[in-house]
This record gives sequence, structure tokens and C-alpha cells, in this order.
Amino acid sequence: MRHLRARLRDRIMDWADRRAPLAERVTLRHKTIYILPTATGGGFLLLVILLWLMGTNYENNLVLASAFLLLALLLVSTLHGFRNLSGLTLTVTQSHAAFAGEHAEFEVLLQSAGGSRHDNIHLSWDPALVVEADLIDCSERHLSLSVRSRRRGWLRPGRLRVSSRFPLGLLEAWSWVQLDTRALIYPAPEPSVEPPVAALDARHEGETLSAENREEFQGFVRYQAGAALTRVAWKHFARGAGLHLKDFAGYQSRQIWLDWDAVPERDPERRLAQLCYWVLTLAQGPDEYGLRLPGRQQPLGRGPEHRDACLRTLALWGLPEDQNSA
Amino acid sequence: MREQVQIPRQALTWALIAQAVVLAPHSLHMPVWLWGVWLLAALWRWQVYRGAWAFAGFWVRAVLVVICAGGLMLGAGWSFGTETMVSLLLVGFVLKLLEVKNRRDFVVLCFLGYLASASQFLFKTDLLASAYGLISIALVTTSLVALHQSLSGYRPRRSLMLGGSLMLQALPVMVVLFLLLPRVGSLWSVPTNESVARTGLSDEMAPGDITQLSQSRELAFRVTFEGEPPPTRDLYWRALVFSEFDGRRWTQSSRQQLHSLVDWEGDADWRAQLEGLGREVSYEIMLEPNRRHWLYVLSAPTQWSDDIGIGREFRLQRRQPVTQRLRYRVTSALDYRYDPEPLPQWLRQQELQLPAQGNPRTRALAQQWREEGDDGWQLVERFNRWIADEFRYTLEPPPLGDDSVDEFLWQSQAGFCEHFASAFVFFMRAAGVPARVVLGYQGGELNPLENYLRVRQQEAHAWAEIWLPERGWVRVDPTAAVAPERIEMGLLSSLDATESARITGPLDGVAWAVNLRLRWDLINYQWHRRVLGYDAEARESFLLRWLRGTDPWRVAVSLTVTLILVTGLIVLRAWWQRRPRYAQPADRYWLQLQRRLSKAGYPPRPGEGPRTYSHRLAGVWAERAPDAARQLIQIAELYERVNYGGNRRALTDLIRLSRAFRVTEMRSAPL
Repeated sequence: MRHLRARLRDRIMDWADRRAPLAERVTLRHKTIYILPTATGGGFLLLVILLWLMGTNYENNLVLASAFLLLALLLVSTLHGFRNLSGLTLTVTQSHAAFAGEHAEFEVLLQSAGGSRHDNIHLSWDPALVVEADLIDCSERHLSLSVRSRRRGWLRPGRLRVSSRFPLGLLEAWSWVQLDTRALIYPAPEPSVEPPVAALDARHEGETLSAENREEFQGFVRYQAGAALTRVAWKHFARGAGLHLKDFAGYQSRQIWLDWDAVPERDPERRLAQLCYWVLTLAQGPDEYGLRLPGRQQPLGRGPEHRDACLRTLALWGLPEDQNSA
Repeated sequence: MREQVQIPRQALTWALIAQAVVLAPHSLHMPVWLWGVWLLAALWRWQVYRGAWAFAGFWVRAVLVVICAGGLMLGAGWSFGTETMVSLLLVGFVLKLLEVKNRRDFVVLCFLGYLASASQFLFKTDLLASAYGLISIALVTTSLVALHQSLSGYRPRRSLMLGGSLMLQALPVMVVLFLLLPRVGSLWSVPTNESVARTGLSDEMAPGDITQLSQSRELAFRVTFEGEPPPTRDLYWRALVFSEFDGRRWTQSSRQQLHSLVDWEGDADWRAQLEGLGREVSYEIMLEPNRRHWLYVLSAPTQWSDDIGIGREFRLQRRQPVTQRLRYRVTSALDYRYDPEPLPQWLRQQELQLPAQGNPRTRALAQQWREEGDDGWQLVERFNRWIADEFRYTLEPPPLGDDSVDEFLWQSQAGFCEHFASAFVFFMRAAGVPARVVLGYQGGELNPLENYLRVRQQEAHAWAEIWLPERGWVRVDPTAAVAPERIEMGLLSSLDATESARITGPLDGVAWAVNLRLRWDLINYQWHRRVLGYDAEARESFLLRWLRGTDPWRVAVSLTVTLILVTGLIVLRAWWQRRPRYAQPADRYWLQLQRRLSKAGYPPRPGEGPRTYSHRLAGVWAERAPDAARQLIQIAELYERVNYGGNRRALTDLIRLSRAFRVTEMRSAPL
């Protein structure tokens, strides 16, 4: 039974996808707008029937007319619900990268055609992350919609559900929009004690340590009374890990190769996660760092671009080719 | 998830307004304290909204429900009439306010509001009440709209405008549904409406009853004749026949009260005794609800609507009391002969019944005239001559004692129709002529605007019928002998100035006020006749007239066509609102060109202005179509010059160039 329902659902979705092909810019038209009564609408129909029975039994034409009026209201509100969605144009303008498990954000431009009004529109990729918007006093609005990411790689947000229960809540009009966009999802960083550095590179480490120049991050130490508040690791504290101090050491710039083989983990995803953590950690320091992955190497470098390139390499490593090029 | 969201302020405000408006017309029949409960509930809910108070707990609500429902039932004497049911609904409607926490509760509140708005029509159905009901329904709709609108930049007017326009668009659909959907009769019996007052005639007649009635200007029924209405002197609307006299009051005999003797099927043998003699008239009566079984009719009815029975004395009646406005059609023979053969013994006895004692002088006089050789019609003429000369027609007769007939005939000699009818019938019976009292209305006010008759309570009248051998039953109206104007022209003309002042309205003499009153009554009458009286029969004739048939497929096709029409209109309106509007004259031509370019595969990027857009495309085309690239840049420059440089002359160039620009050549160019 469940299997049958899932298949039916897939069939319907395939059919809907064919009607709404992938595009960067989508305008909602009658072909892609669907309308069905809500539970409230069902209750409303019961109310109409009740009034009809009352009017019939009392042979009271005005009560009957009330029943017909409500029925007519239901029909008219269908048209208004349809009109409310029709003509809306959605354009994806930007997507933001995120770490796996976080919300990836997409910037969507919502526009109305001409001077038409659109009231109380709900947009969501994920039923738990609904954004409400309206185009009443303006003809366009920038929205930021998010999707929860699950694993690294390219995230395609899938069908965006644009829906509205306007004007009476008796019917829901909705459309599935397939926006041609994607966001890069980095592996979720997993902290580890030691940076995964290959043995032959170990000579670089600790070479030119100078205690006077304490400005580079080294690690965390337990909180000591009287320490400067700026050194407190507030993030850790907020996570409930207790008070720690960020320990700074004056390193001289070093060259560090983060090495796949040096990660003390077998599971490739966890390896990537720990490498990700160290990329983020090193990106805050003065050192030049590079990445060595099986079959891929990110040369030594510094700065935000370098960091992003490293993260991108980690995000896409080992994924099928179409995922990379898409 | 959204179901849990708090109710927005504007929705709550609209709901409170709607509630007050919906409750107002129910004030007529709901207990007054319900308003107090409503005020409490509204205040409480508002304080909850403001965060000052908490929601009422379960026990508080339960106690309130029990108290209110109990109070209602106590007040209604534990009866389950329509009124009680509606009041219970109102209690629910009011108390629901206390537990409106989420959207679903709010929707339930609105649904109760719809029910309460519609149920006011059970009590009042005139034109004003209908308009008011429409407003209540519109306000409930407005609250529902307010719940489903965006909150940003909210203006309360927006909900009202939208709610109102939804209603206006729904109205034509409603009219079509109303006209076309089939009507089914009552499916089961419903509690009757106790709030309808028993007005008008009652089932007995004592001196003074009708006098009192004649001071009421309330409407009894309206009549529309097919063709010319008969003259006023023929308009005797009979309802009840009294054959039993106890010395003071006239009542129906036990046989007359028996329901089982009423002919419902049209097959009683006494119907063969009626013979029409020409003049027939057909008419339709719209009876105001009076909670009585009997109907009004001109003698002698020959045909009538279904569901109506007839008694032996031409009393039309219904099985149920009339609690809703009732419409029925009758054809009557104005000249007729009924019961010409000698009466059966039981009937003769019934129509000659007199109390064992009392009124000796009247009995003696009847006997004396009889012995002087007068019989039948001669007795009637002699009696009429007597009262015409000596008696007075008045609304204020002196009170009568035990021998009411004797006192009336020899002492007061002044009275109203019931006195004359009563004395006449007593006299005839004493003389051995079968006679009976008939109660009903006489005459009516003709509305010249639409040729229908309004019969009001003040037209209430009593007259007599006597039986003569070979002629059968004959109508005799002794009042006509005393005050012929009463019968010919109506009650007003038969009274002197001080008396007539008692039964006229304050503005009856003012021409325009009378005209206005007639017009208003006409509108209401048409409303009752055409809208409230639109039944299965009326629907059939409507279908025959406009759809040329009553087949279901014709109805289905018309409904579909209406739906398409309404859809078309609304879509057209949306399309019109969405038409491009140009802030600057040059916008139009530039946007047209831009649309053509987009279709060819070169849409502007979001936020791209004419300059960057044209340069980007020119860069793409530079090699393959340098002319087009140059032209496009030129058009963009012209556009800027017209819009921002205020150069109106450049507009003509812009129009010429943009129209001449050929997009088709670019179609194959790679982007």
C-alpha cells in the first residue's frame, strides 16, 4: 500500500516536473498552478450542505440563498487563489555555500507582472523552512530561501513549493517551481587534536616559535582567572563546553601540507571532515597551507580565496564527474 | 505549523465587528443577557490579545456554557423550538470567542458566524432583513479574509474591500444557482417558529373581537388577480364558519372542528352540490404567517393549489399552521348555487341550533314575523330595512349584557359587523331559517402601481349565510344594510371623523407619503412573491421560459456557461490590472523591443539597465552583425535622451528605429 502510494506520488511528481522544466527564471502560469480544497474548505462545504438542509426543511428561500452564496464564494475564491499566484516570476540571483547539515541559502527575486497584487505567498523547499512574502505595495522583493543540506557536494534544492491559501483559506493554490541553481556544500568540519600533517613535513613545525609575538592561534587551554576577556573562546562556551582560552603563539609563517594519509581515520567522509576543520583553523593563522588528496592536490597558499578553493576541493573530492561539472 | 500561529489583530478586530453585526438582528428573539455574555467574551478575548489576561480555563468555559445553555432552556420552558435552537447556536457563537487560540478555532468562529447570519432569515425575510443579512455575511467573509492576508503594510480597509468584492462577484453566481438548482420539499419536519405572533382572526367570535382587530393596520395577506379584480363589494374573503352559539360567543361546531371531515383528495360527495353560474376569477394569495390552519378564499372555490383541504362550508385549510409566508392559487366561481336540495338532517339541526334560553324578545319577534307570513328572503329584507333605519355603525359600541342579542336590537342599536352578523343569524335561526356566521375579511386596498390587493387586519369582517330552499346557501351581510359605504368603499368611509382617526396612520392624508408607502409595499410584495416565493413550480416556469425546457442537461449547460462567464470576467479584470503601464513615454517602445529580444533568446539580466544591456548584446553581436549592434546602442541612447534628457523630438526617432530593428536575424547567434 505504501509502495503503491509512493509510486503514485512519483508519477505525479514526474508529470509536474515535465510541465515545469528547470529554468533560472520561472513565471507561474495556468499550466503549472494547481488548486485543491484544504480541510477548511471541506468544512466549508459541510456548512453549505447544512445551510441547504436548513433552507430546504424550513422552506426558506433566503437560507437557501445563503447556502448558494457561500457556494458561489467558494468558486470565486478559487479564481482569486489562482490569480494570486498567476504571473509571479521567480528568478534565482545567487546561492551561498554552506557546511553539510547547515542551511544553504538561495537569493530569489520575486516579481509581479505589471501592477498585479500578490498576497500572502508561502515559499519553501523544506516544509519546515517556510518564507512568507507578498507583492502588494511593491512589484518585486528579494527573498532569501534556505534548504537544509545533508551531505557535501553540489546541492540542488529541487522543487520549490510556491503556495497560497489566499483569500479565504478554503483552497490552496500551489506550484512546483524548478529553479536551475545549486549551492556548494562543504563537509561538516570535525575537530581533531593533531593536524593531519605528513611525517616528512614535521620538521617545519615548532621551528621558529617566538613567545613575544603572541598573535597566532595555537589551540585552547583551560580558563585561568584574570585572563583577558578577548581571549575567551566564547563559541565553545556557548556550546556548553566550559570556559576555555584561545591560546596564541607567535609562529613564524610556516608551510603546512594537510595530508589525506595523515588523518587517523578510515572513513573517507570523516577524513574530509577533519581536513575541513584544519583548513578552517589554519585559514585563521599566518601559515601557508596546502591539501593533498588522493588524485588531487591544492597547492600552498593563503587568504580567503585559497581557503574557498580548498573547501571546494574537499566538497567535490571523489564525487562523480557530472556532480563536478554541473 | 502555521495552525499554531497567533490570530493577527486585524482578523480579531474584524471578527468582533462581524459578531456584533450578526448578533444585532437576533436581539428580537434572543435573551438580552446574551449581549452581556458577548461583551464579557469580547473583552476577555481582547485582553488575551493584549497579553493582559490569560485564556479562560476549561472549567470556566464549561461553567459558562452550562449556565448560558441552562438559562436559555429555562427561559424557553424546556421546549425545543426554532428560537431555542438558534439561541443555543448564538451561545456557541459567543462563547467560542473565549477559546479562539489558533487559526482553526478562528475559522470555526467564522463558520458559526455564517450559520448565525443565515438563521436570522428564519425570523425575518423582508427586503431590509435580506440586505442586512448580506452585510453580515460580507463582514464574516472579511474576517476570514483578514486571517489570510499578509501582515506587512496591512490596512484594515483592504480586507473589507476584498471581502466586499468577493461577495459582489459571488452574487451573480448565487442568483444563477438560486434560479436553476432544483428545489426539494421539506425532507423532515422541523420545529416550528414560536416567535410568529398569532395575529388576526381567532377561532371564536365574541362581541368586540373584530372591533379591536379593525384598529390594526397590519397586513393579513396580499392578492394578485388574473385580469381585472372584481368590485370591492364581491370581495368577501371567507376563512371560518361558526354554527355554534352559546348566547355570547360563536364557535365552530364539533363537526366543523374535525380534521377528518376535511376533504384533502377532492373526492367528497358534497362537492357535487356546487354549481358554478358564470363569473369565475383566478387569483394568487400570499398569506402572512399567522400560525393558523385556515386560509382565505372567495366563495365558492372550484380549484386550488395542492396540499390544501376544504371543509363542507368552503373553508380552505392546511395540515400545518402557517409559520412561513405562504403562497397559494385559487379559482372561485363568484356566482354559484350550493346545496339547493333539502339539507341533511344533521346539517339542518346544526344550522338551526340555539341556546335553550335567553334573548326571549328576539325569539318572539322572529316568531311574530313568521306568523305574519314572511318567509325566507322576505324576512331578510324586512330585517335589513329595520336595522338600516334605526341602527348605527360604530367602532365604540356600548357593552352588552347576558341577553346580548336582545340588548343590541332594542337598547344599544349600535355596533360593529360582529354585532350585526350575530344578531341576524340568531334572528333567522329563531325564525326557522338555517343560518350561520362567516368570519374573514372584506375588501382590501388596491395598489394601483401593480394592480394587487393588500388586505389588512382592519378589513376583518363577519357576515352571514342563510339557506333557502332551491337557492341553497346565500350570503347576507347585514352590515351592508347599515353602512353600505363599508362594503363599497372600505372601512374608513363608513366611520365619522373621530372614529376614522383611530384607524388611520399619521401620514395617510399626505399624497407623497401615501405614494411612497404604496411603492415600498410594492417592492416588498414583489420581493415576497418572486424571491421568497420562488418554489419548484416557479422554477419550472422560469426554465420553460428562458431555457425552453426543464431537462437537467439544459440546467447543467447554463450553470457551466455562467461559471465560464464569471471566470472570464475575473480573469479579464486581472489581465487588465496587469497590463503594462509606462511611467515615461519612451518606456513603451524600449520595453517592446526588450520583449522581442527576450523572445529571441536575449533576456536582460536582473537589474540590467538599457545602457549595460545594449552594450552587452552589442558585444555579443559585434562580429556577426555589427550593424545591429550599432543600432541597438543607438536606440538605447535615444531612450536615455528621451527619458532623462527631456528630448521629446528624439522620441520619433526612437519609435522609427526600434520598430525597424530586426530581431529575427539575431536568433541563431550564440550568446
